[in-house]
Amino acid sequence: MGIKKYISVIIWIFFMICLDQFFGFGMSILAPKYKQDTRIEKLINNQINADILIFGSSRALNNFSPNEIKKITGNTCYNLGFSGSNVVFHEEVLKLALKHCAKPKLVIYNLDDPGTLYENSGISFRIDALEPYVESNEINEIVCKQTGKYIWPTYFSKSYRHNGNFINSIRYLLKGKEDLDYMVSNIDSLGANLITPAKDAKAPTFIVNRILPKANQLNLSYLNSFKNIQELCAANNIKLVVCFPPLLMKPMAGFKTSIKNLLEGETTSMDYTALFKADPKYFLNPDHLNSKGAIVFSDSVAHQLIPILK
Amino acid sequence: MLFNSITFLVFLPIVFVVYYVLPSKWRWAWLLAASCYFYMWFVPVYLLILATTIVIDYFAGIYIEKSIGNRRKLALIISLIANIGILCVFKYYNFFVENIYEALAGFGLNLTPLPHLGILLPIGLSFHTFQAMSYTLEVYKGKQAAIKHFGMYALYVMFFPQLVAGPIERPQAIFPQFHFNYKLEWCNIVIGLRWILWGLFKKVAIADQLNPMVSFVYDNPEKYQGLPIYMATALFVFQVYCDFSGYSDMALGMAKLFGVNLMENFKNPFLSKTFTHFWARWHVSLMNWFRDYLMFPMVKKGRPWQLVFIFVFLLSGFWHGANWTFVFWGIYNGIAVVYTKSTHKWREKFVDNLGVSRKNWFRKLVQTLSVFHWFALGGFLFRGENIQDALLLFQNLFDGFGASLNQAWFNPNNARESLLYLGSVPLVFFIQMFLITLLITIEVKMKDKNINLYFESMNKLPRLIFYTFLVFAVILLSGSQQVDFVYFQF
Repeated sequence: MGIKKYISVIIWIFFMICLDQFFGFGMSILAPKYKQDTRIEKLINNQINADILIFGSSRALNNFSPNEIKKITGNTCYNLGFSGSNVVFHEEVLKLALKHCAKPKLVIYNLDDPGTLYENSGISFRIDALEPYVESNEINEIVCKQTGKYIWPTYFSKSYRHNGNFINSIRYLLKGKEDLDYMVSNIDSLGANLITPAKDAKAPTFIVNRILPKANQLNLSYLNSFKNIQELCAANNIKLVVCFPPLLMKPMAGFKTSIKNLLEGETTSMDYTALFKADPKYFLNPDHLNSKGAIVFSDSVAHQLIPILK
Repeated sequence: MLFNSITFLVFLPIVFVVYYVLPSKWRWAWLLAASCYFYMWFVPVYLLILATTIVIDYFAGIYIEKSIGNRRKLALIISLIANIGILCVFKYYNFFVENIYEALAGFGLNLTPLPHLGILLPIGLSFHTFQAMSYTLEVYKGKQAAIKHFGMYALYVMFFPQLVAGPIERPQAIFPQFHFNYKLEWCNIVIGLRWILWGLFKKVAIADQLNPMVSFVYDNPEKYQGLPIYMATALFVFQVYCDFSGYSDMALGMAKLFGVNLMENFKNPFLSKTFTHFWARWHVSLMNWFRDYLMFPMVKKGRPWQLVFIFVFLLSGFWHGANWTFVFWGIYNGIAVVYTKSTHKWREKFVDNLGVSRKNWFRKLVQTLSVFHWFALGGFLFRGENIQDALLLFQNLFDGFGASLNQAWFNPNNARESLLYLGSVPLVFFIQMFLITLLITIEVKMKDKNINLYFESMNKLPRLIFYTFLVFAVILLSGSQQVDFVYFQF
C-alpha cells in the first residue's frame, strides 16, 4: 500500500472521529431539550432539595401533592414519581437523589399493587427518562447496565453513547418539544402531576375482576430493589414510609401481607387503600386519583407524617 | 459471540493481527483455537458434540478412501447416521416424541411419554452437520481426497466465520485454500471490510429495527386484521433477508480477511422473475446441498421430478426447525416451485400473446412483486408460532382489509400507529422505509454484481460518503441490545 493510501485512510478516520463527536454532541444537546419532564436533569444538577421526597410510579406522580404536604407538615416536599416505572428504577432514582440532593428527612415510597413485586406489562425500567442525560457518566453507567450496552465503547464514540437519543433528537429538530402528555409529563414545579378530569369525563367505576399476575411473575430483582430502598434509607438515617394508595378496585389478595413481611427496621407502612371507600368522585381512573382526591389523600398522609417527622 | 457484538469487535482484530504475525504453518492452529473459543462462547460443553462428529467424519473419510465395495458404503452410512443421529437427538427428539405419542393416543394407546430433553439446541448444528456430511459424501464420490491432517479437517468444520450459520461449503472449495500462505494484502482487507460493513448495515440498521414491528403483530395474531398483517408480513421478509444475508455477507468478509473465499449465499433474490429463480438465489449453499445430494440423484433414478421437488423442499423446511410450521412451509414452497416450473412456458406464452414484451418494465415489476408476495405469504408459516396462528393470520389478512386501510388513511384515534407503523414511532417507521428503499435501489443497481463490485464501480468520493453513511447508520441505529440472528436457531 502506498503512502498516499495510508494518508487518505488516516484522513478518513479523522473525519469519522470528528463526525462522531459532532453527532454525539448534537444529540447530547437536543435530546434533553426534547423532554417535557426535566426532573432527572434537575436531580443530577443538584437542583432538587427537599425535606420529603416521594418515589414511585404514576400512582405517586398523580396522587401526591407536595404542596399540601408542605402546608401541613411545614417541610418542603418534592415528587419524584415516574409513570410506568418499576421499583428497580425507583432504587436508581433514590441513589441519584442521595448523591446529588441535600439528604431528605423522610422518603415516601408509594406502592403499586401488585407492580412493586410482580411483573407487569405496564411498568418497566424507564430507560427513556435517563437516556437524554447519558452525557453524565453515572447515568450512562445505569443505562448501560440496564440495556446490556457495552460501557467502554461509549467512552470512545460519543455517537454510540448517545444512540438511544437519536430518534428524539431528530424529533426535536422536526417538531420541537415532545407533546405534553397530561398523564405523564405535565409536571409542576414540585415534581407532581395532579390531574383535573375533563368536565364531560365519565366517572370511573369500581373494578371487581382484576387481571392479576400469577405467582411465577413474582420478580426477584423487584424484591431486591424494594429491600435496597429500605437499606439505603436506613444507612442514611432517613425515615421511610411505604404507602398503599387509594384504589378503585379490589386489592390483590396477599399483596399487603407480602409487603409487610418485607418491611425492615423502622420502615413505617400506611394503608390508604380504602380511604375513599370506592367513591369515584376522587378518582381519575381505577388506578389514579384526580386532583381533588390527590389533595385529600396528601392531607391525610401529611397529618400522619407529623409525629414521624418530629 | 454474535458478529454484531462489541465483544466480537475486539475478538476479530486480535485473531486477524495474530494470524498475520504467525508463520503460515501455524496459522491453521491459531484459527482453530479462535474458532473453538468463538463456539465455546455460546455453550462451552457443546464443543464436545462438534468434536464427536469431527472425529467420526475424519476417520470415516480416511476409511472410505482406503476401502472398496460394501465397506466403503458402510463407512459412509456410519458417518451419515452419526451426523443425522446427533441432529435428530438435539433438534428433533422432542418433536418426534410429542408427535408419536399424540399419534398413538389417537389410536387409543395412551402411553406414558418419554421425558422431554430440556436442553438448548447447539448453535448452528444444522449448518455444521451438513458441511461435515458434504465432506464424507464427496470423499465417497471420489471428488475429494480424504484429509489426513486432523487439525485441517477440524478447521473445515469449525472455521468461525461460517461455523454457526453457513454458508455450507464443499470440501473442494475450501481445502485448496487452507494452505494459509497468504500475505497481508490491502485489497483483501478492503474487500473483507466492505462485505462486513454491508452485512452489519443490513443486520443492525434494518433487520434488528424491524424485529419489534414484526413481533408487534406476530406475537398477538388474534388482535389484528388486514393492513397490519400485510405490513408485518412484508417487513418480515426484509427482516429475515437482511438478517440472514447480513450474516452471510459478514462471514464472507471475515473469511476474506484471512485470505479464504466463501461462496455467496444470497444473490439478490428479490430481483427474481420466477419463484424457481428465487430459490436459486436464496440460501444458495443449502439449496445446492439438497440439489446435489438429494434432488439430482432421485431424479436420475427416475422418480417424478414434481414429487422429488416437493419432498426436497419439505426436507429443507424441516431442516429449519422441528415444528410442523416449517414442514408445511417447505411443502408450500415446493408446490409453488413445481407450479412455477410446470406452467412457466405456458404463462410466458399467454402474456406474450397479450402483446406485452418480455422487456416491458411493468411486466418485470409484476413478476418481481409476485415472487415477493409468494414468498411473503410463506412467512405466516415461517414466523407463526404454530399452524393455528399461521391460519389465523392468513384468514385475518383478508378479513377487514378495507376497513383497516380506511382507518390507517383517516387515522381516527391515532389508529395509524398500530395499523401502519406497527407500534413504532412514525419517525422510526419512515427511517426503516427509507433504508429498505435504499437497499432495494442498491440491489437493483447491482444487478448480478455483488456489493464488493458495486463499491468498486463507484467513484472515490461517493464511495467514501457511502462508507461513512453505512458506518453511522450502524452506530446510530444499533439497538441497546443485540438481537440474535434468526438463523442461529437452526
